[in-house]
Amino acid sequence: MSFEWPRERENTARGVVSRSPTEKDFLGIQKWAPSSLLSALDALSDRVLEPIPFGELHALVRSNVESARVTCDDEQFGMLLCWTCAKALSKSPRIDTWASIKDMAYQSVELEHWIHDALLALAKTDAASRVSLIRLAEETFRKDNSDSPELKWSRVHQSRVDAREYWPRVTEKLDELWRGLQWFDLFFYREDFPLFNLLFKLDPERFIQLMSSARNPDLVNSALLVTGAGRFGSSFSEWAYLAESAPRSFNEDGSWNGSCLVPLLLFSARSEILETRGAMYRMGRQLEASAVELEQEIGGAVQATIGSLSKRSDAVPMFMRWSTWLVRNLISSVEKDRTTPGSPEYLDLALLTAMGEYLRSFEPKADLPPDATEWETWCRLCVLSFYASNGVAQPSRSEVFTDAWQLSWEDWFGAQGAKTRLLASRFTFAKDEVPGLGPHLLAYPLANASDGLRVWRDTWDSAQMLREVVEFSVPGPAGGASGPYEGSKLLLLLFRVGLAVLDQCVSQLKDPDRGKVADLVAYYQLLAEIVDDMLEIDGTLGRSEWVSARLHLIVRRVIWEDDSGREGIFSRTDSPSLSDYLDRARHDPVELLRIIEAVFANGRSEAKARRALDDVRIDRSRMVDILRRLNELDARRYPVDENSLQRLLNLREEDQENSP
Amino acid sequence: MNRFGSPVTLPSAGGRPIPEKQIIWCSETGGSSRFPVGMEDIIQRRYAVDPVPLIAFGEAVAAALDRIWIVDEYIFMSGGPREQQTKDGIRKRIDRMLAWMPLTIEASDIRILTKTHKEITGSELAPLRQREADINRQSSHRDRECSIQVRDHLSTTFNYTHDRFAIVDDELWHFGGTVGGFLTSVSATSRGWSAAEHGAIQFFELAWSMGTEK
Repeated sequence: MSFEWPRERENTARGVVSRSPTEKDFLGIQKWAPSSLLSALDALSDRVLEPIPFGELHALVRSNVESARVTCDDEQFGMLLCWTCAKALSKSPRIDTWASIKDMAYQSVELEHWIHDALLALAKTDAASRVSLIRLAEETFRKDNSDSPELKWSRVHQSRVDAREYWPRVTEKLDELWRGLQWFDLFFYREDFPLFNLLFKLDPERFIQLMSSARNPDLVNSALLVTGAGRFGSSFSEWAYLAESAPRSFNEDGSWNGSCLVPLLLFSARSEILETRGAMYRMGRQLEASAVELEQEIGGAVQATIGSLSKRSDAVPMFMRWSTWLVRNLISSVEKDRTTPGSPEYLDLALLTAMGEYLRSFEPKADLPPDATEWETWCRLCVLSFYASNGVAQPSRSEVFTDAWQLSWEDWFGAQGAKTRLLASRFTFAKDEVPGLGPHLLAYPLANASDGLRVWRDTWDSAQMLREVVEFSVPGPAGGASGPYEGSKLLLLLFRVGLAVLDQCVSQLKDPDRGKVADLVAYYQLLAEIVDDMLEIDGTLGRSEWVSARLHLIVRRVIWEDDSGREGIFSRTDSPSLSDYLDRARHDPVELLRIIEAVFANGRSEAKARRALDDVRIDRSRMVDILRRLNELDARRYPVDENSLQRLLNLREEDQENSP
Repeated sequence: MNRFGSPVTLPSAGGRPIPEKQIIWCSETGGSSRFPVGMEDIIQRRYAVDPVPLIAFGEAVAAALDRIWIVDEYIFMSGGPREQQTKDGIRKRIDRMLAWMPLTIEASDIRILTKTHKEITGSELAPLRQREADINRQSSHRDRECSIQVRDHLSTTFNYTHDRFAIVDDELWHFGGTVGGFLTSVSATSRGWSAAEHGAIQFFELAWSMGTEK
């Protein structure tokens, strides 16, 4: 059985079927409508061309039915109305005839929803009608593409005009398409859906050509809806047919040729897969119990989607371009979201992984297409890092990242500074994870280069001007007060990349190579000095991030130390040690507690904490007394966790522990 | 993917006690735990020229130690229909807000997320900038300089909110009307919710990141 979207299967399982008359019902209309009545309605259809008010047409059809002494129910009467209008259109397949029918369709649910089946039946029984209706549908599509024909609903008409005028001004068109055209309204071209549907059924290749060449994204999005491949379509086979047969959208160099069809198909596929969780829930699955099933569903949908797209002649440049956009969504995400099946981040990661597997044999390149936007520079680097970490590509050159930090005063106020701020602005949101996925991916080329540690250090040194901005509160380019905070945020990103380099180097260290370890210890010391320095000079909102950065360094120092015969990165005497950090904070019980809590939260490090406290002779009981006293004085300012205090008190003095 | 995770997890900061949950109706007495008792109170409030905001909220803001984050499309607009908005009304509203932020305020991270109004320009917001500078000048021993930021992308790049709310340190306040309790119709606020526990901090960060400073 071929693959179906989850919603498609849901619809089948729930028995969702249309109760409207179908093309087949119209083809069988002679079975219950005598030929004399149909001839009379055929003659009546000439009146539609006049045009005629709907009420009058309705009355005339009724009178013909009564004259023919035919008994019909409401549905059959509606079919006769549609059949009369379809006849009129086949006789006079002109835009103005269609306009008259659309006008009447505002007053008739039957005309609005059934006319395309009546037209289809006529086209299938009469070759001449078929040709003329196809021509009319093409003409209508072209008119919609080049013009904004009047709509009865003025609000929708104005929105459609606004959208059309806005599109040429959109600077990041691919981004808008991949986000699904946020302003799109289902009603923009809905009244022409019957003709679009007709064209797709009668000449799908022609319809695809038209959609592919159209430059009006809302029209293409509307046309996709009637094919069943659009956002609300839920037909994988229709989607795959379009995805595999639509003309190229991307050139060999990765540039986009302006055709909206394929980018919208990618959006549609992503939206469908994101529905998996909802579809399972609506079908009564217990999501907690079905996590594995959900993973399998999403995995299957991703494979089917990428499998279809892989058949396209522009698959490689398309995948590279889409990967760059997908990774942009991921760089600020947190691990929990990326590992939760059903989340957008989980899906984007699965799509990236599947595309990477396909790209393996094409050696993905870092080169950006000529129409790439600024943010793609670092995001492409991140894509390459991700693929390289999966073993399907070589990492990008680190200069793409490091060159952006060589800033002078002129640069800070000029284009280069603006560019660095723009590039970095995508990477500053992940607060729950340090360093975070974005910094990790930026760090990957450095962590995998023999001189990566030196290059990062040189990069930090080349960004000294930013340090000055922070320390001396240099205003931003616009003269506002936000300059120092902007500088702080940039330096924090650069620091996080440096920390990611350290984390990756440590995790890659399989057989402790003492030469490499000495380099890493020296590099850690450099990071620790940088954080001390930033805590001295940074009085902006960014300061709290440096406080957190120091805790991260402290805990790494503890968990990477030699332990019970296991060789670590640090020996006990390497500075700064936990004792050094505690000694520096000895007059600030709140800070001391924060350090100890961070150490406690990361593994069984009680022995190390106890030893460090002993080394610098910190009296735990006195410290706890002070903290409790402070808490009594002002619980909001000095919040304490009683469990932490108790755990601290339970760290017995070493000599006590060793005594019999 | 966990090869790019962090080897370290820091315990969540906080632990500050959150005040008891409470519902407070806006009133000309500065807040009441009960609905207005009769038409007299309702009418008095309805036609108040300069409605009294919630005292409890003002006190909470003034005593904040860390953050004051506000999401409200109409925080700077005085009550009544658009055509009745005057520069004087807007100035009065901002003056009321400034009263929550004395020069001695300790909170550093003050952010207001609102929507664009043609009546609100840089000059209307100048008193906030001035207050930020004055606060920083007043106290030289702050860890972090006070920052009062305003963004107005609600209803444009982040057009997804309906309710108004505020986060004061770790406490979430939910408002039926204008944040601070300026509404003259019958309206209430509920307080005492943990902002972290209910995802308010993450939500605010997301909404805030969708635009740039005004």
